[in-house]
Amino acid sequence: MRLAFYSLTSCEGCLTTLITNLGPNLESLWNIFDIDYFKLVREPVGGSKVPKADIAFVEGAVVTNLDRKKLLEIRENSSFVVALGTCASSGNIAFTASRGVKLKNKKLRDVEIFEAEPISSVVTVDFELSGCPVSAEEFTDALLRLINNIEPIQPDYSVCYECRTKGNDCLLEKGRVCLGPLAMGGCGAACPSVGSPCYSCRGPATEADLEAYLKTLEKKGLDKKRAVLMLHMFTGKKAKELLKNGE
Amino acid sequence: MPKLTTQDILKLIDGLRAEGFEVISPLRINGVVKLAKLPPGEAPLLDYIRINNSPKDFLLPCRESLYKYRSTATLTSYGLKIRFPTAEGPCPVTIMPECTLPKSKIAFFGIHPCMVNSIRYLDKVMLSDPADPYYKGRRDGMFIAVMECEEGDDYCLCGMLDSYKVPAGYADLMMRKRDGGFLVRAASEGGKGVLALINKTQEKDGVPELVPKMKEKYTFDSTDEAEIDRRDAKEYVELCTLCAACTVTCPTCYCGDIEDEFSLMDPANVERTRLRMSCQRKCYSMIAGGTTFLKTKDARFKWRLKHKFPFSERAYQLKGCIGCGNCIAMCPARIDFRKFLGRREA
Amino acid sequence: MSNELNPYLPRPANVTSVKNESLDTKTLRFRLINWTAPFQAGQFVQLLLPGVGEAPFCIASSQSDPKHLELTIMRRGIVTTASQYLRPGDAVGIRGPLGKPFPVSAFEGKDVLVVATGIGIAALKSLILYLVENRGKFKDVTLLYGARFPEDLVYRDEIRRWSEKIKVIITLSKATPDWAGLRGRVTDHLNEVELNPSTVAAVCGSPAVMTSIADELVNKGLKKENIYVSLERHMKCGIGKCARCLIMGGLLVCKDGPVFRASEIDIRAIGE
Repeated sequence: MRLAFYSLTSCEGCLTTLITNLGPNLESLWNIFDIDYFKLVREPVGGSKVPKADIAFVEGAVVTNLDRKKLLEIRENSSFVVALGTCASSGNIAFTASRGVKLKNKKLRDVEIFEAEPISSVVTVDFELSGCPVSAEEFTDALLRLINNIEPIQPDYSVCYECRTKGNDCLLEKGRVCLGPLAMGGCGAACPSVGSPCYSCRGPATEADLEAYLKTLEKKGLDKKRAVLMLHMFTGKKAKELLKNGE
Repeated sequence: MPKLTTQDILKLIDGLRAEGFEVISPLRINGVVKLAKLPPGEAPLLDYIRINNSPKDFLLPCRESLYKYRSTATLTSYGLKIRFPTAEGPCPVTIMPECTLPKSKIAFFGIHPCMVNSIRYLDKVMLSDPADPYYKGRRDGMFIAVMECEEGDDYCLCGMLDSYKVPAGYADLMMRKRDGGFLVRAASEGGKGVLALINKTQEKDGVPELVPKMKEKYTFDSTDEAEIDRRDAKEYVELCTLCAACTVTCPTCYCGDIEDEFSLMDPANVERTRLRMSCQRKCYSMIAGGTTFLKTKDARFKWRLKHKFPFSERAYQLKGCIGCGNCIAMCPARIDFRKFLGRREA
Repeated sequence: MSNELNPYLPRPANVTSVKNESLDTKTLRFRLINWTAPFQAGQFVQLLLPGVGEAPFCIASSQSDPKHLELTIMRRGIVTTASQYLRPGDAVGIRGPLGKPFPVSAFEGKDVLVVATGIGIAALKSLILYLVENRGKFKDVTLLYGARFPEDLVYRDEIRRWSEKIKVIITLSKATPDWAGLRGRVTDHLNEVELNPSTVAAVCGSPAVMTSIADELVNKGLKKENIYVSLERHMKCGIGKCARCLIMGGLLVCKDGPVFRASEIDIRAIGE
């Protein structure tokens, strides 16, 4: 099976995480699969910048015209496309940050800059693996499931689930706006466990209920506007969709 | 009935440690009150109302390895290969699971009677035939020192479920606060032995029952399955975000999941792991093909209550709710099942 | 650690043969290595595929052979998909037998009606085999089997053999024009079976179908306690410790079932 790892406009943190966090698994990955391209590690095999692959993992958001062109080529040359990380699956910080900014004059030679979009806005995505950065364990799990013809999954629980399992006190109780009830778990409630509110960097949970969450905030006398602002930070396009459904 | 000072309590705990017990008691860690392993020399927190976790976390951990096995699997880039073609006769390859059962001596020191009742409920579920060997390994030889409760907070409801009473055989020591010290009495031979360690002897029994004061009183009309189904839960679940804090912090929620875990490096080395599950999660009631039986928030809320009341009463002749109120206190929206099932008394 | 003390441990078995039943359904035959599974019709086992996971399946072979088990598996979830790739010689783990069987001794001397739709027949195959093998103990025995398309029909050879001893009625709800047999749902053909108040019925199929069949049988004068249904849930532990197969009434499919009397459960709510 041939794999390829691409990077669009991003911090390249997801691919770096895979390299650092896969540990010894990286080596077996390298031995088992034909990895035709791995940004940062291996140049494209066979001369073509976008080689044919069975599974393509794409990190980063679509920001430039070059991104768009490359992504279309990736889709054409890959049987299965996986969005790797929150940038690729929902646009992440760039999505909100690039809106309401004058982008017209931002042209550098032949590179044009547009408002950032997740890759699903441009091509059909077969599976989204969110996380900022992506989790190496979830990546391995998804890869194993894919090669075994099993549908890959992401956690169906929210950050609260893991936070309470750890026996933490709820930040909402302490009067702080935390996106835990809306956010997809799987991070082990890393932020709330050290007293920092959740910003939902892994995107919304599968059954996120914004309406109920905002009503809960209202009941507690917490700032709803702040919650919506926080939601926009990482959740990008998905925040927009969530808000549309909520109203 | 001997009266003990904090110093005596520390000696008592040292005595338990000397007998090989792992002492678990309420502690304040970074401002959070929860049950944890008591570090040597530190005094347990005995003046508290609510803890964020429960004995369940020590008896049925969130993640535990059931067994390991070496499968014949090899990883190829086209999937896991578990096939072993044999030239002649039966295949020599077999799956031989290996497991080591936990064997620990746990001493819960200073838990409230409601938590003791939760251990009794878990016993009923886990030790009924066939007994769960992992639970049994942790449960056997357990020592329980109960801290009797004087007053509940806004969410406590042990007063109406009678779960402030410690069931027979579920306590070794009974403690209650008295004038800056603790009145301690042994409730079992093990308890007497531990008291003897610090040269305190059991005097005559006969202490009045301590009924904790409830801040709010409710009466439940009926907890029948039909009655729960009939009631309208819409206004209660309106604020529910399905975060599952209610089931995670419930001392008697025991639902579980079992999964295979292995690494890319060595796919033949598989670990079968038991994880926690919650009926508030989507995959709880999902069967092959993606059908989910509990689709709505409404159905999941009712399901939790049905499992606590009518289902448990039918299967184990015991309520699954032990009145700790954690599901209300830990809920971000403070969804109160007491109001759903009953009426508040003046 | 022996399996008697730890009910979570699987015991070894090998695949001995694979039979294609239909496009997405296979019957796998397993040989148990140095152990036997003395089971009774209606019980189930947990099948462990190394590295994939465990899933429950009703035993689809005769209880007269406790050294071999057959499972009929339709491709649907993770384990069922992976099981389609099993070949003779593959190593698997099996836990069981688990659950309560059909109380076959109570069927003796009575008319027995077995109603199966779709892959539900797999859960009833062990019962049908028992009825065929001990034909003399029962009065009239009828199998009413419904499927959607002709290619969905499984156990074709076996059904031919069974029909020498018991009455078999097959009906297709979405038959192609060349289908010579009966058409329509199983409930349309209940009239063709002679029912009397003491008839015992065993039913398995999708939840909605089971509800309508049971309703129909009650209308035709059968006692609710004489109607048995075999339910499906994704049991994880199989011994009543994980509560994943809890159904209304507080019953556990793995421990109190999978075979239930229609009088024990709310037959209208089995789809919930």
